Amino acid sequence: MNPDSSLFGISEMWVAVILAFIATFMWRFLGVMLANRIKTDSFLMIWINALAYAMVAGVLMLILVYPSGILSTTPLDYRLGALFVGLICMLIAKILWLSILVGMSSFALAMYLF
Amino acid sequence: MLRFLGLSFIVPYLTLSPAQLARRGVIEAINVPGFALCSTLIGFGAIAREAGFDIWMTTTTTLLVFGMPGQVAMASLYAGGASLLLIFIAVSLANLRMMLMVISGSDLLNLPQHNLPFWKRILLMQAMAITGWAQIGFKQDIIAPNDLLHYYKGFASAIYVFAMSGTIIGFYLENLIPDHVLRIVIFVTPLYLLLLIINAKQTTNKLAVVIGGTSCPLLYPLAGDWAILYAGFIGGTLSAFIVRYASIRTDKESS
Repeated sequence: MNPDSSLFGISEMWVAVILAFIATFMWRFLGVMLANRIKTDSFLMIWINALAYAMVAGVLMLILVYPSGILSTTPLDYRLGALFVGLICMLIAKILWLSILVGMSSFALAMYLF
Repeated sequence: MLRFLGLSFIVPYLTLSPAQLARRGVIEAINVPGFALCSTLIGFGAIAREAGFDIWMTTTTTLLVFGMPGQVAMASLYAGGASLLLIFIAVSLANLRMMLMVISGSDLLNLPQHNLPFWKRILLMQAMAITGWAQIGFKQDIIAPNDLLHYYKGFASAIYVFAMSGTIIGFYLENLIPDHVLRIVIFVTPLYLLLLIINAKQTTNKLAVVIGGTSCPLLYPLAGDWAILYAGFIGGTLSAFIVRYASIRTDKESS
């Protein structure tokens, strides 16, 4: 694709940006439209919440397991190992900032030592 | 007294006015959430520059899309020569979760109770991305449901500023940050968010995180980007039904 080519006089790159906006905004818009129609304490709302949590967890795990960019130059064992250490710390201490610090330090140590 | 001493950040949330809650939101965003998001967007700024986008296109993408996986999909696919239709489909798939997060977030924020005009709800939900959504889910125990909106306004505004700053820094200065530091900084975002959502209040949502989080990377080699949808559906549905079944059984046994 040639970045200089144009569609209706607009750079194709701008078209890509606008399409990305529409592809995201339509979901947000649909969410706002549907939000008022679903009862807060209904099973449907419980299910939608669970879908959102599962999907977000899926996206985050994909970023960790199949990263793009500079994170992909780090070994998978280090990433998963550090996440595991952070999760254990969260389960035991139940302190968020401490768990992040422990997980991040484990990752940094693994990168530095091995 | 604590406020007088400049220690307002340890005043309990229940005693705060709407303006103070919004300020608390800003203060709490200027912490791990803000810096983690900023570092993630540094990565996006760098990817977009490599893909040939200029600074206006790059910052507009963050401003309007405000959903990292979709942004990265757009820039990477464009750089790879994908068609505009494919870019549209990939971004739609990557950001479909926004609909669920907006429904869930509106519920957490008690939006129907606030009687806001439609455009205001749209504007508020434009800022609803993983970080803001996970944060209000984390705070729902501590802040009264009707007050959470004020906190969210402050938090989300600050998060938006961090996202824009990260994008600009990544576009211009990515090369100035040593690689070994950048790797650790970028690792913090998924780590922080996973720790935040695994701490969900409801058992259903905790279970959904475990099932969705473990099944998605396993499904990815088979299903590609669709893995996110499959994992979301499997994790969400299984957890909702398991917990419902377990609670019905418990009710029957106790009665």
